[in-house]
Amino acid sequence: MDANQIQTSPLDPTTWAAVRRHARLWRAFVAISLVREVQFRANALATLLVGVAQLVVSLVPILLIFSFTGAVHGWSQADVLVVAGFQQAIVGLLAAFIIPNMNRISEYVERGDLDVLLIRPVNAHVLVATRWVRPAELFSVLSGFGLIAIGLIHRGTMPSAIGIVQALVLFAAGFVLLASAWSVVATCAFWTSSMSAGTMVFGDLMEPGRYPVAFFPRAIQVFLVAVVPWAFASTFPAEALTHGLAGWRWSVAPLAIAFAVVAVAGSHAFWNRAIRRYSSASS
Amino acid sequence: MVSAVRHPGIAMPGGRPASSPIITVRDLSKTYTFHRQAPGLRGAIRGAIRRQTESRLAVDALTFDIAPGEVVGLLGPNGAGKTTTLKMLTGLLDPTDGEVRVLGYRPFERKTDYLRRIDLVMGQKTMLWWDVPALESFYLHKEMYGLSDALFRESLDELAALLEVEDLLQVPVRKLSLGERMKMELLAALLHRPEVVFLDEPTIGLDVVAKDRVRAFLAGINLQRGTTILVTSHDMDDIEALCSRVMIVNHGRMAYDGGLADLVQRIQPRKRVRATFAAPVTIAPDAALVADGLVRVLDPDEADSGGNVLALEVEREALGDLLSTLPRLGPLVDLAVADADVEEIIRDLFIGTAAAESAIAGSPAVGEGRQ
Amino acid sequence: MTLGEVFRVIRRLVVGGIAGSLAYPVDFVFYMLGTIIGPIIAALVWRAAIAAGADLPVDAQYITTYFVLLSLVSMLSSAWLSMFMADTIRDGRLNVWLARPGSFLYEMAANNIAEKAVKLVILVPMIAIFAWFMRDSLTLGVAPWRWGALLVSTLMAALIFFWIDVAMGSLGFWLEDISGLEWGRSLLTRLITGQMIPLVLFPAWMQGFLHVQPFRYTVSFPLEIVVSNLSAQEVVTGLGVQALWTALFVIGGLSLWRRGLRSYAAVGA
Repeated sequence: MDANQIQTSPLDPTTWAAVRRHARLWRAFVAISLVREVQFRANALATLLVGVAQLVVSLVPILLIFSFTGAVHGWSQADVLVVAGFQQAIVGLLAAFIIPNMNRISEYVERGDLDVLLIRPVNAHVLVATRWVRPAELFSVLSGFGLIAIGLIHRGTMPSAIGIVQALVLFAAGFVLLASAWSVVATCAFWTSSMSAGTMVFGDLMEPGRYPVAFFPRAIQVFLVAVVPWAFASTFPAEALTHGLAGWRWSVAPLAIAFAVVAVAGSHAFWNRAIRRYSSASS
Repeated sequence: MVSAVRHPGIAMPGGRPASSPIITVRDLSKTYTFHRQAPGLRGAIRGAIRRQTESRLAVDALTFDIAPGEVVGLLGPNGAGKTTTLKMLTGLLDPTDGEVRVLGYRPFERKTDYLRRIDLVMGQKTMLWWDVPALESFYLHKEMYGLSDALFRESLDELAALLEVEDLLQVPVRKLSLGERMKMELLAALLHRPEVVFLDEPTIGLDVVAKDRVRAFLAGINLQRGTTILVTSHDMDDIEALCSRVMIVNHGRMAYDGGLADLVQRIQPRKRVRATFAAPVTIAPDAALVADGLVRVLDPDEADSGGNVLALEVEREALGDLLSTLPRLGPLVDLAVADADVEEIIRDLFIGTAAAESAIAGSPAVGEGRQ
Repeated sequence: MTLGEVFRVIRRLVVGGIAGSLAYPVDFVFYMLGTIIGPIIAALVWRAAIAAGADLPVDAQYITTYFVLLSLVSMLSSAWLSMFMADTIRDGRLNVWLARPGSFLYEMAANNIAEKAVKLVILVPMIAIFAWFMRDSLTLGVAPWRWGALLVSTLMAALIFFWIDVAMGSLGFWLEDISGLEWGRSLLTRLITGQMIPLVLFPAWMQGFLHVQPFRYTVSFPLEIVVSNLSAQEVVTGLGVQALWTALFVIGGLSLWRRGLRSYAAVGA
């Protein structure tokens, strides 16, 4: 094959070709993470055990609350377990694919390691946000789904087919929304060197997702819809499976999709702004 | 002293590209603006109220062309603007002023089709994943650059053979020596057959053997593939071994752009004289040649010379006078006359000794134009 | 070293530590924000339960006041030196510290005090805002002596946590890696110190155990002095028990440290 041939034809003749190339790259990131993980088998096991223990501890408040009452704002213990299950699963996904990268961004900026990434013919935002994968965290996704199942069994009801579809859509949209929020927070590292502490705090904001947003006062509910969208990520999917999303709540799923699209666009724009600043100022 | 083995590259007459240039730079400038902030809480508050902006001119109106297949060295002291220039050529930094085009693209637009035709290797930064074999990192590169399986295989086999790392591909990178790691970095950088490769201090920290291998490899790639190479280095041996053309930047400005041989010839007005006497000898500071500044007394290397050895640096035109003066100082046992060290010359240039600078500027005759 | 000299050394180190911490104001703001998020969520969730008619053994005042004051007591009693200590021992960097005039422990203590001073300044306004939003069910108007007792109790709690950390860190003299142990300890203590949930809310069959175990005396007991209806008698008794536990952990930590140092020096590391 003529070496010159590859250089003159465009790398991505169509947008779809670009998407495909980035998808293959992501697959390669997963592959390399598995190679790493196999070497550190002990760590994977430790992550698993840690995850289980943390899950049990996080369930203690829920179990205690419902030892004193049957329902809170219309949510039974089983219902809340389903909410907690969705939170667990989403945090597992985030911890596997997104969060390790977010924590590294402030490191990249401080050490100037961004150059080695920006030089690649790849969308820098995608590259930075997805290159590290921690497959062991996916156990949390399993345990999260397990929790959902336990909640539904406890409830003794079967979710409707529509409910399942809505729950999946909301789950996916919720993941995208939270990933975008994480990206926005981590991108602030281009402006302040304190963002490693900042991302730590944002990690604490994963906690409220264990509870239905109805548990919180109005102001916090708005926060959980617009800023850290646990409403879409755990409360509504749980509702879809338990009570069902009736009336105006039918619009929640398509709304979540729209919101997710906006969030991705927004976080990407913010990232580009950050890179422009980096490319004009760094030495 | 040229200790490195010289590897043949494509020799270009200094500063004049034979074919249409692959890199064109016109009045390229970069000014950094930054806010100076006092440390601590008080500084943070004050900084929030009133910003003190400072600017620093890092690169000042650089102009040059590089032809396809050239191997060019970029020399300069720390802070001279070498890395900044490199970053502007690779699209990592936006220029403040001027024009730069590589392969017809404006680098700072960072088009995918531009980035896949170049690469940047930074001596102190690694692009390889640490805990896994280098081969895994290469697979990543394959996907990043959209290489077909066949092309990837072919390129990998060829480069691994050239670099003699076939047996090391499956070894986790953290277990490789520094030299082996550098080879892997180079392999990764050349996997996608870039037409232009930028290297920032590629041999830093390597032992002599490894350095030589790296230089041989780069020269070989340049010969075989016609890859254009721009290297920054502190190591004169790198430059001497690889580059036929040298650009020297100082304080962001181009101080010299031309052939290395020319440079050495031009700024070498001095000779080194090492005279060994039978008895301890000194040369008086008010002696005619020394007082005129034509002769400079250096420290002899050996500590046990006991004053028998005189190490002197002398302007070319005064050599004759000096040689006739020496026997009058005492009984001469041995005499050696050599060219001054190229590295020291360059260093003098950076410190900005008037002699070196004016020599670069091409002062007509020796003895004139000196401060 | 005389007590006076010790005091001067520590004071110097503390002043230096404060100056050092002030170089990172934003980081500390973030850290303190992080410590306050958990209690806020917990307070809101438990209040929702109460509003929904849950029959708790305590009322909304208790819950609210507990969680508002929780981050303060928790921060003031906290210690964070165990991992650093174990790493320093493992790296062999301990030699550098041992060569210095002040003992390693003095520096750790000074760092602890210094950072807490800075954290306090940052945390108090945050707690004030939190308290203001919860003001409808906040009871802070208790007898002044209770606040004094809270202070004393928190001081002892700080000693307990500090010396537990010294003990854990000293395990680094013998163990390769204490992170697993550390992690287990932190998980356990989150539950039984009262940092996650007021101990009184645990099931009845656990109350006996929770009441006597030493970790109650780190976060829960200081808060109980102000928040619950412990009588003066009970407070004094409690302080006495806490003092005993404190002495135990100080002696235990100190002897483990000394033992470790001896073995460390013997090896000539």
